[in-house]
Amino acid sequence: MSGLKRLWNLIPAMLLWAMLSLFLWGWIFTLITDTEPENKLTVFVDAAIPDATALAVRLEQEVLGGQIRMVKAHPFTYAMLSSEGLSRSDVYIVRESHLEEYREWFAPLPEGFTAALPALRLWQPEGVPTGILIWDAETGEGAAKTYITYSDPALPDEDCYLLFGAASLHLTGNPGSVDNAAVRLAETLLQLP
Amino acid sequence: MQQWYSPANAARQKKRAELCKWSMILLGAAALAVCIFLCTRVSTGNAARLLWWVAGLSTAAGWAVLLIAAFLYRPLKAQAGHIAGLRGGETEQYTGRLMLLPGGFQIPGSIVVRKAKLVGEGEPLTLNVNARCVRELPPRDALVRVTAVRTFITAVEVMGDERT
Repeated sequence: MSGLKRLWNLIPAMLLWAMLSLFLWGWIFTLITDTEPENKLTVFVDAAIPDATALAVRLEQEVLGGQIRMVKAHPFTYAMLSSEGLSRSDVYIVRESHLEEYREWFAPLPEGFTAALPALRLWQPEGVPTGILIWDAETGEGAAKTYITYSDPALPDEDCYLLFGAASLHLTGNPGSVDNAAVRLAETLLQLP
Repeated sequence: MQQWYSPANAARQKKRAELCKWSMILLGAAALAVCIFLCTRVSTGNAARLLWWVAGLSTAAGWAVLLIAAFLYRPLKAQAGHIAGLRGGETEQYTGRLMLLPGGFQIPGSIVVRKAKLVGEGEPLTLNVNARCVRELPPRDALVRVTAVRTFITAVEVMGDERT
Protein backbone atom coordinates (compact mmCIF):
# COMPACT_ATOMS: atom_id res chain seq x y z
CA MET A 1 0.00 0.00 0.00
CA SER A 2 1.49 3.33 -0.98
CA GLY A 3 2.23 5.96 1.65
CA LEU A 4 -0.26 8.34 0.10
CA LYS A 5 -3.06 5.75 0.23
CA ARG A 6 -2.19 4.94 3.84
CA LEU A 7 -2.34 8.66 4.65
CA TRP A 8 -5.68 8.96 2.84
CA ASN A 9 -7.05 6.07 4.90
CA LEU A 10 -5.98 7.87 8.06
CA ILE A 11 -7.87 11.09 7.28
CA PRO A 12 -11.24 9.99 8.79
CA ALA A 13 -9.51 8.98 12.03
CA MET A 14 -7.60 12.28 12.10
CA LEU A 15 -10.77 14.31 11.54
CA LEU A 16 -12.61 12.30 14.18
CA TRP A 17 -9.77 12.86 16.64
CA ALA A 18 -9.74 16.63 15.94
CA MET A 19 -13.50 16.85 16.60
CA LEU A 20 -13.28 14.65 19.69
CA SER A 21 -10.41 16.72 21.02
CA LEU A 22 -12.25 19.99 20.50
CA PHE A 23 -15.47 18.73 22.12
CA LEU A 24 -13.68 17.06 25.03
CA TRP A 25 -11.52 20.09 25.89
CA GLY A 26 -14.46 22.43 25.28
CA TRP A 27 -16.45 20.45 27.83
CA ILE A 28 -13.56 20.41 30.32
CA PHE A 29 -13.06 24.17 29.90
CA THR A 30 -16.78 24.73 30.44
CA LEU A 31 -16.45 22.84 33.72
CA ILE A 32 -13.35 24.66 34.92
CA THR A 33 -14.46 28.12 33.83
CA ASP A 34 -17.74 27.93 35.68
CA THR A 35 -18.66 27.56 39.31
CA GLU A 36 -21.63 27.48 41.65
CA PRO A 37 -23.89 30.57 41.79
CA GLU A 38 -22.62 31.18 45.35
CA ASN A 39 -19.12 31.74 43.99
CA LYS A 40 -19.78 33.88 40.95
CA LEU A 41 -21.43 37.11 39.97
CA THR A 42 -23.38 37.31 36.75
CA VAL A 43 -24.46 40.34 34.79
CA PHE A 44 -26.82 40.02 31.84
CA VAL A 45 -27.01 42.94 29.45
CA ASP A 46 -29.93 43.63 27.12
CA ALA A 47 -27.50 44.98 24.51
CA ALA A 48 -24.46 43.84 22.60
CA ILE A 49 -21.18 43.24 24.47
CA PRO A 50 -18.45 43.19 21.81
CA ASP A 51 -15.90 41.71 24.21
CA ALA A 52 -17.68 40.06 27.13
CA THR A 53 -14.38 38.61 28.39
CA ALA A 54 -12.81 42.07 28.68
CA LEU A 55 -15.83 43.30 30.66
CA ALA A 56 -15.75 40.26 32.97
CA VAL A 57 -12.00 40.63 33.54
CA ARG A 58 -12.42 44.35 34.30
CA LEU A 59 -15.20 43.61 36.80
CA GLU A 60 -13.18 40.78 38.37
CA GLN A 61 -10.41 43.29 39.14
CA GLU A 62 -12.80 45.05 41.48
CA VAL A 63 -15.07 42.40 42.93
CA LEU A 64 -13.07 39.17 43.32
CA GLY A 65 -12.52 38.12 46.90
CA GLY A 66 -14.41 36.43 49.67
CA GLN A 67 -16.66 33.83 48.12
CA ILE A 68 -16.55 35.41 44.67
CA ARG A 69 -14.19 33.54 42.36
CA MET A 70 -15.38 34.78 38.97
CA VAL A 71 -17.61 37.23 37.12
CA LYS A 72 -19.65 36.33 34.06
CA ALA A 73 -20.92 38.96 31.65
CA HIS A 74 -23.37 37.94 28.95
CA PRO A 75 -25.72 39.63 26.49
CA PHE A 76 -29.36 38.53 26.73
CA THR A 77 -28.90 36.61 23.45
CA TYR A 78 -26.56 34.24 25.33
CA ALA A 79 -29.63 32.83 27.08
CA MET A 80 -31.69 32.30 23.93
CA LEU A 81 -32.06 28.55 24.53
CA SER A 82 -32.93 28.75 28.21
CA SER A 83 -33.92 31.63 30.43
CA GLU A 84 -32.94 29.71 33.60
CA GLY A 85 -29.53 31.42 33.93
CA LEU A 86 -30.95 34.73 32.82
CA SER A 87 -33.65 34.75 35.49
CA ARG A 88 -31.08 34.03 38.22
CA SER A 89 -28.64 36.79 37.25
CA ASP A 90 -27.24 39.07 39.99
CA VAL A 91 -27.32 42.29 38.00
CA TYR A 92 -29.13 43.31 34.83
CA ILE A 93 -28.79 46.11 32.36
CA VAL A 94 -32.09 46.35 30.51
CA ARG A 95 -33.55 48.60 27.82
CA GLU A 96 -36.41 50.74 29.06
CA SER A 97 -38.98 49.15 26.75
CA HIS A 98 -38.19 45.69 28.16
CA LEU A 99 -38.37 46.60 31.85
CA GLU A 100 -42.00 45.61 32.31
CA GLU A 101 -41.49 42.33 30.45
CA TYR A 102 -38.78 41.15 32.89
CA ARG A 103 -40.12 42.95 35.94
CA GLU A 104 -40.59 39.84 38.10
CA TRP A 105 -36.84 39.09 37.88
CA PHE A 106 -35.87 42.39 39.52
CA ALA A 107 -35.38 43.19 43.19
CA PRO A 108 -35.85 46.68 44.63
CA LEU A 109 -32.68 48.73 44.79
CA PRO A 110 -30.88 48.16 48.11
CA GLU A 111 -31.37 50.89 50.67
CA GLY A 112 -28.69 53.52 50.51
CA PHE A 113 -27.54 52.41 47.05
CA THR A 114 -28.79 55.58 45.43
CA ALA A 115 -27.48 57.84 48.18
CA ALA A 116 -24.10 58.08 46.49
CA LEU A 117 -25.71 58.61 43.08
CA PRO A 118 -28.44 61.19 43.64
CA ALA A 119 -28.25 62.66 40.16
CA LEU A 120 -29.19 59.46 38.37
CA ARG A 121 -32.74 58.85 37.24
CA LEU A 122 -34.56 55.90 38.75
CA TRP A 123 -37.12 53.47 37.40
CA GLN A 124 -39.76 53.18 40.10
CA PRO A 125 -42.66 50.86 39.26
CA GLU A 126 -45.45 51.50 41.78
CA GLY A 127 -43.15 53.90 43.56
CA VAL A 128 -40.53 51.26 44.44
CA PRO A 129 -37.02 52.27 43.27
CA THR A 130 -35.96 49.25 41.22
CA GLY A 131 -33.67 50.42 38.42
CA ILE A 132 -31.08 53.12 38.07
CA LEU A 133 -30.28 54.81 34.77
CA ILE A 134 -26.97 53.58 33.36
CA TRP A 135 -27.26 54.96 29.83
CA ASP A 136 -29.12 58.05 28.70
CA ALA A 137 -30.16 57.67 25.08
CA GLU A 138 -30.85 61.38 24.64
CA THR A 139 -27.38 62.57 25.61
CA GLY A 140 -25.56 59.37 24.68
CA GLU A 141 -23.92 59.47 28.09
CA GLY A 142 -23.63 56.55 30.44
CA ALA A 143 -21.42 54.05 32.19
CA ALA A 144 -19.46 51.13 30.70
CA LYS A 145 -19.80 52.52 27.18
CA THR A 146 -16.37 51.08 26.38
CA TYR A 147 -17.68 47.58 26.96
CA ILE A 148 -21.37 47.73 26.06
CA THR A 149 -22.87 48.84 22.74
CA TYR A 150 -26.10 50.44 23.94
CA SER A 151 -27.06 51.75 20.50
CA ASP A 152 -28.41 49.02 18.27
CA PRO A 153 -28.85 50.09 14.64
CA ALA A 154 -31.83 47.74 14.37
CA LEU A 155 -33.65 49.28 17.36
CA PRO A 156 -34.57 52.82 18.37
CA ASP A 157 -32.20 54.32 20.93
CA GLU A 158 -33.63 54.15 24.43
CA ASP A 159 -32.47 54.52 28.01
CA CYS A 160 -30.96 51.52 29.77
CA TYR A 161 -31.31 50.78 33.48
CA LEU A 162 -29.20 48.81 35.91
CA LEU A 163 -31.20 46.46 38.13
CA PHE A 164 -30.61 43.79 40.75
CA GLY A 165 -31.81 40.20 40.43
CA ALA A 166 -34.60 39.01 42.73
CA ALA A 167 -33.05 35.51 42.68
CA SER A 168 -29.48 36.73 43.25
CA LEU A 169 -27.60 35.04 46.09
CA HIS A 170 -25.39 38.09 46.37
CA LEU A 171 -27.92 40.69 47.48
CA THR A 172 -28.73 41.09 51.15
CA GLY A 173 -32.44 40.58 51.69
CA ASN A 174 -32.89 38.02 48.92
CA PRO A 175 -33.80 34.45 50.00
CA GLY A 176 -30.63 32.36 50.54
CA SER A 177 -28.39 35.38 50.17
CA VAL A 178 -24.73 34.71 51.03
CA ASP A 179 -23.28 38.21 50.70
CA ASN A 180 -23.89 41.64 49.23
CA ALA A 181 -21.39 41.41 46.36
CA ALA A 182 -23.97 42.34 43.72
CA VAL A 183 -23.94 45.88 45.08
CA ARG A 184 -20.17 46.06 44.64
CA LEU A 185 -20.61 44.76 41.09
CA ALA A 186 -23.27 47.37 40.31
CA GLU A 187 -21.17 50.18 41.77
CA THR A 188 -18.21 49.06 39.64
CA LEU A 189 -20.37 48.93 36.51
CA LEU A 190 -21.66 52.44 37.15
CA GLN A 191 -18.10 53.73 37.43
CA LEU A 192 -16.72 52.08 34.30
CA PRO A 193 -15.87 54.44 31.44
CA MET B 1 16.57 -11.43 1.81
CA GLN B 2 18.26 -14.07 3.96
CA GLN B 3 19.41 -11.29 6.24
CA TRP B 4 15.86 -9.93 6.43
CA TYR B 5 14.59 -13.27 7.71
CA SER B 6 17.48 -13.69 10.15
CA PRO B 7 16.85 -13.90 13.92
CA ALA B 8 18.94 -10.75 14.38
CA ASN B 9 16.67 -8.79 12.04
CA ALA B 10 13.57 -10.16 13.74
CA ALA B 11 14.91 -8.93 17.07
CA ARG B 12 15.83 -5.55 15.51
CA GLN B 13 12.33 -5.06 14.04
CA LYS B 14 10.77 -5.99 17.37
CA LYS B 15 13.03 -3.55 19.22
CA ARG B 16 12.17 -0.72 16.81
CA ALA B 17 8.47 -1.48 17.19
CA GLU B 18 8.86 -1.27 20.98
CA LEU B 19 10.71 2.02 20.60
CA CYS B 20 7.87 3.39 18.45
CA LYS B 21 5.30 2.21 20.97
CA TRP B 22 7.07 4.00 23.82
CA SER B 23 7.54 7.11 21.68
CA MET B 24 3.79 7.22 21.09
CA ILE B 25 3.05 6.69 24.78
CA LEU B 26 5.55 9.40 25.78
CA LEU B 27 4.25 11.83 23.17
CA GLY B 28 0.66 11.30 24.30
CA ALA B 29 1.56 11.56 27.98
CA ALA B 30 3.65 14.71 27.43
CA ALA B 31 0.85 16.40 25.46
CA LEU B 32 -1.66 15.43 28.15
CA ALA B 33 0.62 16.77 30.89
CA VAL B 34 1.00 20.11 29.06
CA CYS B 35 -2.76 20.30 28.51
CA ILE B 36 -3.43 19.64 32.21
CA PHE B 37 -0.81 22.24 33.17
CA LEU B 38 -2.47 24.80 30.87
CA CYS B 39 -5.86 23.94 32.43
CA THR B 40 -4.47 24.93 35.82
CA ARG B 41 -3.61 28.36 34.38
CA VAL B 42 -7.10 29.11 33.05
CA SER B 43 -8.70 32.39 34.03
CA THR B 44 -11.66 34.37 32.70
CA GLY B 45 -9.36 36.47 30.54
CA ASN B 46 -7.37 33.69 28.88
CA ALA B 47 -9.90 30.83 28.77
CA ALA B 48 -10.84 31.21 25.10
CA ARG B 49 -7.21 31.50 23.98
CA LEU B 50 -6.05 28.60 26.15
CA LEU B 51 -8.88 26.40 24.91
CA TRP B 52 -7.60 26.79 21.34
CA TRP B 53 -4.05 26.06 22.47
CA VAL B 54 -5.06 22.97 24.43
CA ALA B 55 -7.38 21.62 21.73
CA GLY B 56 -4.71 22.33 19.08
CA LEU B 57 -1.97 20.64 21.08
CA SER B 58 -4.09 17.61 21.84
CA THR B 59 -5.14 17.33 18.19
CA ALA B 60 -1.56 17.66 16.92
CA ALA B 61 -0.28 15.08 19.41
CA GLY B 62 -3.09 12.69 18.47
CA TRP B 63 -2.31 13.12 14.78
CA ALA B 64 1.39 12.52 15.41
CA VAL B 65 0.56 9.32 17.29
CA LEU B 66 -1.74 8.17 14.47
CA LEU B 67 0.96 8.86 11.87
CA ILE B 68 3.66 7.08 13.86
CA ALA B 69 1.32 4.15 14.41
CA ALA B 70 0.38 3.88 10.73
CA PHE B 71 3.75 4.53 9.13
CA LEU B 72 6.23 3.11 11.66
CA TYR B 73 4.81 1.07 14.48
CA ARG B 74 2.34 -1.16 12.64
CA PRO B 75 4.66 -1.99 9.70
CA LEU B 76 7.52 -2.78 12.11
CA LYS B 77 5.28 -4.90 14.29
CA ALA B 78 3.88 -6.67 11.24
CA GLN B 79 7.37 -7.46 9.91
CA ALA B 80 8.55 -8.67 13.32
CA GLY B 81 5.48 -10.89 13.67
CA HIS B 82 5.81 -12.19 10.14
CA ILE B 83 9.50 -13.06 10.54
CA ALA B 84 8.90 -14.67 13.92
CA GLY B 85 6.01 -16.66 12.45
CA LEU B 86 8.14 -18.12 9.69
CA ARG B 87 11.16 -18.91 11.84
CA GLY B 88 11.43 -22.58 12.69
CA GLY B 89 9.00 -23.52 9.90
CA GLU B 90 9.75 -26.27 7.44
CA THR B 91 11.87 -24.97 4.55
CA GLU B 92 11.48 -26.09 0.99
CA GLN B 93 13.70 -25.38 -1.99
CA TYR B 94 12.66 -24.96 -5.60
CA THR B 95 14.58 -24.15 -8.78
CA GLY B 96 13.32 -22.20 -11.78
CA ARG B 97 12.74 -18.73 -13.16
CA LEU B 98 10.94 -16.35 -10.85
CA MET B 99 8.36 -13.89 -12.16
CA LEU B 100 6.79 -11.30 -9.94
CA LEU B 101 3.05 -11.01 -10.60
CA PRO B 102 1.30 -7.64 -10.73
CA GLY B 103 -0.67 -6.33 -7.76
CA GLY B 104 -0.46 -7.26 -4.14
CA PHE B 105 -2.53 -7.36 -0.99
CA GLN B 106 -2.21 -6.78 2.69
CA ILE B 107 -2.79 -9.58 5.14
CA PRO B 108 -5.06 -7.92 7.72
CA GLY B 109 -2.91 -6.71 10.60
CA SER B 110 0.23 -8.01 8.92
CA ILE B 111 2.53 -7.44 5.96
CA VAL B 112 1.86 -6.52 2.33
CA VAL B 113 2.32 -9.54 0.12
CA ARG B 114 3.19 -9.85 -3.57
CA LYS B 115 2.64 -13.03 -5.57
CA ALA B 116 5.40 -14.57 -7.68
CA LYS B 117 5.34 -17.45 -10.14
CA LEU B 118 8.23 -19.88 -10.26
CA VAL B 119 8.47 -21.68 -13.59
CA GLY B 120 10.66 -24.75 -13.29
CA GLU B 121 10.69 -28.25 -14.62
CA GLY B 122 7.31 -29.27 -13.29
CA GLU B 123 4.08 -27.36 -12.77
CA PRO B 124 4.56 -23.58 -12.18
CA LEU B 125 4.42 -22.69 -8.51
CA THR B 126 2.80 -19.61 -7.04
CA LEU B 127 4.73 -18.28 -4.06
CA ASN B 128 4.37 -15.29 -1.75
CA VAL B 129 6.93 -12.51 -1.43
CA ASN B 130 7.15 -10.03 1.40
CA ALA B 131 6.61 -6.70 -0.44
CA ARG B 132 9.43 -5.24 1.65
CA CYS B 133 11.84 -7.69 -0.07
CA VAL B 134 10.70 -7.28 -3.67
CA ARG B 135 13.64 -5.00 -4.50
CA GLU B 136 16.02 -7.76 -3.54
CA LEU B 137 14.66 -10.25 -6.09
CA PRO B 138 16.91 -11.14 -9.04
CA PRO B 139 16.14 -10.08 -12.64
CA ARG B 140 13.15 -11.76 -14.28
CA ASP B 141 15.07 -14.17 -16.54
CA ALA B 142 17.61 -15.37 -13.98
CA LEU B 143 17.62 -19.01 -13.02
CA VAL B 144 17.19 -19.12 -9.27
CA ARG B 145 17.01 -21.44 -6.32
CA VAL B 146 14.26 -20.33 -3.98
CA THR B 147 13.96 -21.18 -0.31
CA ALA B 148 10.42 -20.91 1.02
CA VAL B 149 8.68 -21.43 4.33
CA ARG B 150 4.94 -22.03 4.12
CA THR B 151 4.92 -20.59 0.56
CA PHE B 152 6.77 -17.42 1.65
CA ILE B 153 10.07 -16.86 -0.11
CA THR B 154 12.77 -16.38 2.52
CA ALA B 155 15.87 -16.62 0.31
CA VAL B 156 16.69 -16.45 -3.38
CA GLU B 157 19.97 -17.56 -4.94
CA VAL B 158 20.83 -16.89 -8.54
CA MET B 159 22.31 -20.11 -9.73
CA GLY B 160 26.09 -19.67 -9.67
CA ASP B 161 25.78 -16.24 -8.04
CA GLU B 162 24.32 -16.10 -4.56
CA ARG B 163 22.06 -13.09 -3.95
CA THR B 164 20.98 -12.26 -0.49
